[in-house]
Amino acid sequence: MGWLEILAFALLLVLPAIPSMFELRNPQDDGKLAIADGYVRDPRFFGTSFRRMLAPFLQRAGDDAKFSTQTVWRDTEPVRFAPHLRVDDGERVRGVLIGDDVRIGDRAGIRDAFGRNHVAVADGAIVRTAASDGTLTVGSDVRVLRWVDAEGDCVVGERTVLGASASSAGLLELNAGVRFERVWGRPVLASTPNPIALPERPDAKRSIEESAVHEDVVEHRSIVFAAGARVNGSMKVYGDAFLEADVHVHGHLIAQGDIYLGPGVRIDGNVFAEGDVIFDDGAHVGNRGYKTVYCTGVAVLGNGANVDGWIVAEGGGSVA
Amino acid sequence: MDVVIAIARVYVWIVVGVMAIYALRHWGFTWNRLAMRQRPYYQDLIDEDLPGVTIVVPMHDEQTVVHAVLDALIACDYPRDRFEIIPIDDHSSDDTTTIVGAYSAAYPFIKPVYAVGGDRGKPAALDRVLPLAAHDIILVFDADYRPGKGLIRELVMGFVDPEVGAVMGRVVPRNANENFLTRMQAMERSGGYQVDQQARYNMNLIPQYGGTVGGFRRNVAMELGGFDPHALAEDTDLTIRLALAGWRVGYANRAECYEEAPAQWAVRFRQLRRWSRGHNRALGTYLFAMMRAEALTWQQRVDGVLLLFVYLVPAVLFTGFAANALLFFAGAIPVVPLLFFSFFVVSYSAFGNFGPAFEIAAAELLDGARERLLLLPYLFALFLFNGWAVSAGAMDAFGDFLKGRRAKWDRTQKIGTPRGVA
Repeated sequence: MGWLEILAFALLLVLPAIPSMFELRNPQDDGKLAIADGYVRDPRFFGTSFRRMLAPFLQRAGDDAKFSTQTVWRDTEPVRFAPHLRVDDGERVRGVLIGDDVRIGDRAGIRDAFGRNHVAVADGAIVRTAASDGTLTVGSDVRVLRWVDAEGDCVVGERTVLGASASSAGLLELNAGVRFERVWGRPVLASTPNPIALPERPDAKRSIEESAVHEDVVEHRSIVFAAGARVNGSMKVYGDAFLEADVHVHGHLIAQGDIYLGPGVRIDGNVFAEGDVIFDDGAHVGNRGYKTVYCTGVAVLGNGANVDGWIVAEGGGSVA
Repeated sequence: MDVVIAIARVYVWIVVGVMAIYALRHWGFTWNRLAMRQRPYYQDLIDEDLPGVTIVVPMHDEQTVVHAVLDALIACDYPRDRFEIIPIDDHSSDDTTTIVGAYSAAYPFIKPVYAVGGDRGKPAALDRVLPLAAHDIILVFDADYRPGKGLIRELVMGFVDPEVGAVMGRVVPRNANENFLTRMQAMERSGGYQVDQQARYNMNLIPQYGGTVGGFRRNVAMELGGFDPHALAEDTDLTIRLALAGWRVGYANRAECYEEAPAQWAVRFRQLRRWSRGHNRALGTYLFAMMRAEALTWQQRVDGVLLLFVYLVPAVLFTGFAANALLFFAGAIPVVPLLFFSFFVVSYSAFGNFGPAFEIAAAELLDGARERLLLLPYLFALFLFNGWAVSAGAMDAFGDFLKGRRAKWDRTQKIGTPRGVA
């Protein structure tokens, strides 16, 4: 082996380390991984932070009967306040609208609206965000681009698309055909005349026929719970969980597949599915405070489906 | 001489086989993380009816860091009536005792335990606190950790799963930019958690409970016999015992917590040596039980066995190099048949350490790294250092086994930062 070969070998060995030396001598990317230390999961995060941003304007609204000004959150946007603020049918409005009562007309288009008492969004409107310290009514066929939030009850009309989040400190009523990603309400209640598409009963190895099971249930395949069964514990299923009518689970329900909650099923704890969650008529989740229904697939709510707390549907949710 | 050469030849083949298995394992993990469906942890669940939780912070001479961890825990978002903090003052000789006492006087939910006699070290401290804890869920933080406001809730939610016996969050060095060693450790950590742990969780294998930024069910730990005060890797010990008993470890990749990574080579060396000694002791204790475990699937048993052997791999590799050198100088190296496997060996070992370079690169990309990827070639230097420390630990464990001696706990020295500095 000659010197040339040894030199070439040494060069090839050192070559990958040359760019590294620049990074070592003059670090460009040596920061710690950023962690949001103050972060706490809050299903009403959008509404809460929006109110914080609006605070200076709301204070002024207490003093003046009417005003127009500007905000420079990201772009310069006009801010309008009037006690009874109306956006006419079909009108397009930029900026932030603040009022005691705010009404967005049919097929109107707005960016942000905030009402101290009530906000009403009429049919076919397009809304970026809407928040109310009182009640909130969202009509049919409305398109919410980002989120809506209410301190009081909130009713959402048929076929409305709710954007990334809809939340209410009170009742959140969702009517037929509403689509959503994350909804929070105390409770969230579905109201629809349409039946759900019943999923196929899984070919389960195990079927719980007993009237009551007094322990946690772990099943490594799919499982079927016969109508009226009671589980005095939590359930973990590696496949699908198919709960027939009026089953009552006193703990949590976790499945690595799909979950079907038959008519009148009650789950006291949280529901977590690495697939879809189908609520048949009157299925109910939540007891002893708010709970969460989380699924990586889709969530479908039948008539009277009722969740006290949060529904997170990574694959999208809808009311039958 | 012919016999020695024959043995060396067989040994080299065994080493190549072991390296190939580990290389394939890590390829699998990396592929899973980059291209397959990811399993969510339970952190998106919010529940008003939270279980009670006892937070344990073992500390020995931690006056430089004790303020930070207790302040962070006090600021946590968790109902105070379901929450207690037990700092275990483990034979401290500095101001730790006074500081902990002052916190306890100010906050009724801080209930310190003062260990003044008996065994010293984290496993002994944990064993001491098991019967004293008021709640069934115990979370553990080392004294140099800084839990964020929402971290306790996120970790605790894993216990909604009735199969989960322990949960584990992600450890992130906060002093990554301190020096070369801490930068490289940050990369290792990234590979180990972002890819390795999450992939094992995705694949229903055995994610490891790491002894800090995590927790376990108190009753289960007690049923399994508590903690051996003489164990040096009580985390591995618990992970394996849980697995053998049919419990699972939930991994929360987004439940991140800052730690202080050792910034001095000697400190890091001792830490790795201790880990390796404890882990190899667990290998000796649980290997056959793991191979026969009825509560586990065959995939979990394979993962468990590979997990148990992981701190023996550098020693195996180094002795393999020695055997190869012997064959080379004896003119008997089987070059051609080895070519096929050399790819595996190079992938795993040339730049690898606890996570091969490709795994760390994938993890860093997932973390949004840019220029720091340029440092990947230096993992070779770290591999030699880690391999040395880990092999020394393996030798210690072997010595413990032969002589029947008990190991002593060696605390990792922390520098800390002044109060109020992030």
